[in-house]
Amino acid sequence: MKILVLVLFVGELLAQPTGREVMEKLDDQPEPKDVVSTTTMTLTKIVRGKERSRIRAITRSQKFYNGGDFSSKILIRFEKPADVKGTGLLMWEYRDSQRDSDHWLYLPALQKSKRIVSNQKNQSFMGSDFSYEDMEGRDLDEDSYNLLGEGEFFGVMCYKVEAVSVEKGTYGRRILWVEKGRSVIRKIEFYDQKDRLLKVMTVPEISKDGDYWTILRMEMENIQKPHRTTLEVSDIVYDSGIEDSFFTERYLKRVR
Amino acid sequence: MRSLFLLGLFPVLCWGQLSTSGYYQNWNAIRSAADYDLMLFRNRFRSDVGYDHDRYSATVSLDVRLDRQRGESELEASMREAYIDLFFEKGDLRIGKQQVVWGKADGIFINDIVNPLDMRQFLMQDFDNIRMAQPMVKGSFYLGEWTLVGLLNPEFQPGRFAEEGNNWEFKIGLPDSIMTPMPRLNTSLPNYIHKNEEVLPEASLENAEIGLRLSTFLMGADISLLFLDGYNDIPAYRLDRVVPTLHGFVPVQLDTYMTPFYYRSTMTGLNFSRPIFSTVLKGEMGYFTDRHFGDLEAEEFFSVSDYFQGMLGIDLSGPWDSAVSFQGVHRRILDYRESMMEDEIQMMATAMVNGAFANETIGLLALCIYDVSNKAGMFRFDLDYRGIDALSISIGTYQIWGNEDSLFGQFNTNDNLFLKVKYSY
Repeated sequence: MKILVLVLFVGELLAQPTGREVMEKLDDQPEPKDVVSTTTMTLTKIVRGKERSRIRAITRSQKFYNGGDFSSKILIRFEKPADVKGTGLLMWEYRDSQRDSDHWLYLPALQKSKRIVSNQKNQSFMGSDFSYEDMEGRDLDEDSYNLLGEGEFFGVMCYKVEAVSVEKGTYGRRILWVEKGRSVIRKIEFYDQKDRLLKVMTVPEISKDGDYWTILRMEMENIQKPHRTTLEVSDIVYDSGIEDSFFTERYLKRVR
Repeated sequence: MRSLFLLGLFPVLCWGQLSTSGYYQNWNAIRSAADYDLMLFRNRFRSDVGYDHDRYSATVSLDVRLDRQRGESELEASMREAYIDLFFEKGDLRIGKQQVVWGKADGIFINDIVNPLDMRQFLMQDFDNIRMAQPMVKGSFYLGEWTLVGLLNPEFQPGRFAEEGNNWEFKIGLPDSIMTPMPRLNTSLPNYIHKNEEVLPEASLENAEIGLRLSTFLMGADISLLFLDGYNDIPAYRLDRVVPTLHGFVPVQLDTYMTPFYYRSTMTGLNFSRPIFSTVLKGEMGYFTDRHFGDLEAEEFFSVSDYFQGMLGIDLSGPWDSAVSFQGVHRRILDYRESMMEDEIQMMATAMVNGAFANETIGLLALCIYDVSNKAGMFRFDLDYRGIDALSISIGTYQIWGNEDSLFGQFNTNDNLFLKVKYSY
């Protein structure tokens, strides 16, 4: 009997993937050639129990590369609020993770595009609770992984994977909740360098469009200050065949 | 081509998308030095209308400004820009009243000189209103990482400066209007300077301004080579005539009449910016031929010399999501004569901190431009509340110092505190 229990236990261990394997499976999801989407962010501040919201909206176009120098190119156009409408951000990201991405910012009021420092990935994206790094994602090799166990979230079983940055990063560690069956992220807990819980991101809505899983709604709650951001994605178009030339200063300056 | 043009003129009749944006701004400033008077009460309404199609677009920008200062009101309604864009596979064409922006520098102009500047309100002008659009044809051609831009501006338009008596009337350029001994007149009599009507070049193809810009992305750097052959936007002064006033047969004073005129000059320039470590290194320089400078000993009161100005700067990330920028500027008259009214070398430095805090509900701008050569400068501090979408409320100050014959020092009594409210739509 003891032998049988031991065999079952060892079998369970053998069936359990490692944290790295969970993340590799997540990373192996089919990637589109390009994607265009509209993202609306609602920034909510809680003041004396009352909520005050502001709206940010962007159109984001991204092209992914399988070979060559680039991993992806992104053009973001700010649509709301009105005082930043037309502002553009062009980002070229490189396959070589040691190489900083190149960023250009276009300010329509000044009709001027300028090179901006790109290494501040921990900065807030448009005043939201998402940082640039949260929006861009991370390379698999930038973290080491440890499977903490399993848990239920949004009624589905998830692997809980701890990710610790190999080099000193923005966060001390992150705990990712990855859905077991469909291999999609449903929750991330972000801890600061002092291992205090900083932010919690949840993904209540996902959908599958052809081969691709799409996050339709994300919520990021800042635990250390009364602020949260809800991000909704709409008007998604995959594989429309965006030309390389779209991700240049020419289109960055074409405001509307 | 003709049909495209017509479609651009009558956009609502055809496929495409019409868009509108703009803002209302109220700007009040109180002098923070003696007099403590209301320096500015401004209401501005801006409306930009655009029509877009895959192959072309049309843009019209209207501006209405009502200023009240020194007890007088000034209403100005203008069409800031109005142009049509035509998009081709390898190029674009923009025709109409437009702005062309060349520079890399923040807050100063080195080789970004295609459009003349509206200096009538000098510091009390938002930076996006300082360039004056001109009717031009601009063609851009794209080939891989290379972009070639050509400009043709058939009608010269000079820079605009405040009228006499205005808070921001520029006093430099002419000799002192009360009394300036001019050595070439060989007299120590009081010499009163008078300004004649300025002479503008005629609008003709012969007088057209042309510009070229070749840009590329090379080894991680944005690089542009620039060339502009056109008129200088600021006039030089030619001595027209000297009239003595006689007391009996003895001259007791002179009245000197000077005529402002505009002259051609070429500019060859280079711009670059490149990230290095955690910063962006940027530079902007221009070599100008045949610049005219006031010269007290010259026959016609001006001398001609080549001129250089350049900027080297660095942008870096500061604490709490802020951006910090430092710039150094060097200007030099290359064939300098001691009798010239301007200094041979001018050095300037700028420092700027720009940030948005508390989830971008608070904005901060601190800008200092320091004229090293004249120990003069200006400091602007601007705190901006943006807690409600599309509405911003700013309070701030301009502090100006230096002696009166320097660019900033001549306005050293114009220190002010301001309140701005802006609603964008």
